[in-house]
Amino acid sequence: MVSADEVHRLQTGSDPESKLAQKVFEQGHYAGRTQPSSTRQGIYAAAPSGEMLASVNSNDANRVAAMLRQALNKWNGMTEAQRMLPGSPVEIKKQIRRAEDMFPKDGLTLRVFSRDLPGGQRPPDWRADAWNQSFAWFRRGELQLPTGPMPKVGQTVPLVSIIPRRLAKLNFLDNVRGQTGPFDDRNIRAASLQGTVESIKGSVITLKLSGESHTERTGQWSIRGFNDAPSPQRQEMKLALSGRAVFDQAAGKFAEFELLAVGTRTGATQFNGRHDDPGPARIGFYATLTGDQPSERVAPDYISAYGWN
Amino acid sequence: MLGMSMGMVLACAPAAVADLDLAEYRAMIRPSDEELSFESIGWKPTFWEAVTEAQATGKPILLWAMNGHPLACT
Repeated sequence: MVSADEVHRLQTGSDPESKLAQKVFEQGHYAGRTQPSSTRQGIYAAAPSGEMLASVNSNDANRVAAMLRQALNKWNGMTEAQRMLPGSPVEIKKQIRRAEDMFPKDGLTLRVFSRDLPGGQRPPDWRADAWNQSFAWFRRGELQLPTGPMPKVGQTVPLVSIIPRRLAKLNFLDNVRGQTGPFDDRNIRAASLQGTVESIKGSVITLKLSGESHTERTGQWSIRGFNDAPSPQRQEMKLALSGRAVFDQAAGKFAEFELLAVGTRTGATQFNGRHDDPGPARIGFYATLTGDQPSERVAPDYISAYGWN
Repeated sequence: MLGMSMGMVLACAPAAVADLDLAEYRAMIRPSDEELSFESIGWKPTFWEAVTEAQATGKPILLWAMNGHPLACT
């Protein structure tokens, strides 16, 4: 069985899922480590009992393959009792609450890709083609679905402000090379998204989307991972928004949604790998509806900022 | 969602960039099938899902754990 999961929650949580992961982590390559960080990230092979088989934190295929061989050897030497978890995982699941449980099936869920655009500095390594992704969720209630008359072709209407504001704060982030923290409401200089009605067929409205997103913050923080002290910094993201959406008013949901955000990034944060490339430089985001794969139901990184219960 | 009375759109200048070519930028930004090929492995997006299935099938678990979900932003 293969699983990918976020390590911080697992290594700090107190539910049965986190506790079992911690049992694995504390037999692994970063067991007990506190400096330069306490992260337990990496690749682990383990028995369902929590007995670790082998682990490594590497993107070298040969090292991972060696780790897997070591793990299989240990697995083959274990008894059934050593391998298996006492109790039923299905029953234990009732004690585990995850953000993924809040997936808004009847709302709007977006997958947002980010990438540097031509024109910027492109080092001759993985950073030249780097990209990242994040997710954005909106509950049906947050979307304030209309009950009024249909708009007319050519009419321009604002989309509810939570869409551009949430995207600006939590998704339109310079995460191309690595994680970066979210913006907050104080950092928003502009966040708007409107749709111009291109066509109406029955209850289905096709919209041309446009708008802008501008966030900016200043302060003192590090920009070289663990290798520098906090110093005065400024970060800015200024984007033009453009796209297309198809909204089915009868069904109360978007059938299609594509949004581009293209513009300029400036600045660096502690772990986003921009210390040597702070810009200003071009960056682009592409947001579209999530699909049905389990991998597209991962909770948004900063869902704690949503205020959801 | 659509309606002039709905939502609080901030007062702001129109976007500085004219219509973006959706197809052109989508091709530039969206990862290629090759770049997304890691998704074909069939990762369970939560550790407990793998524990549950491993227990039911008698198999070991491979866990890829990162700061930031590996299937999202890491």
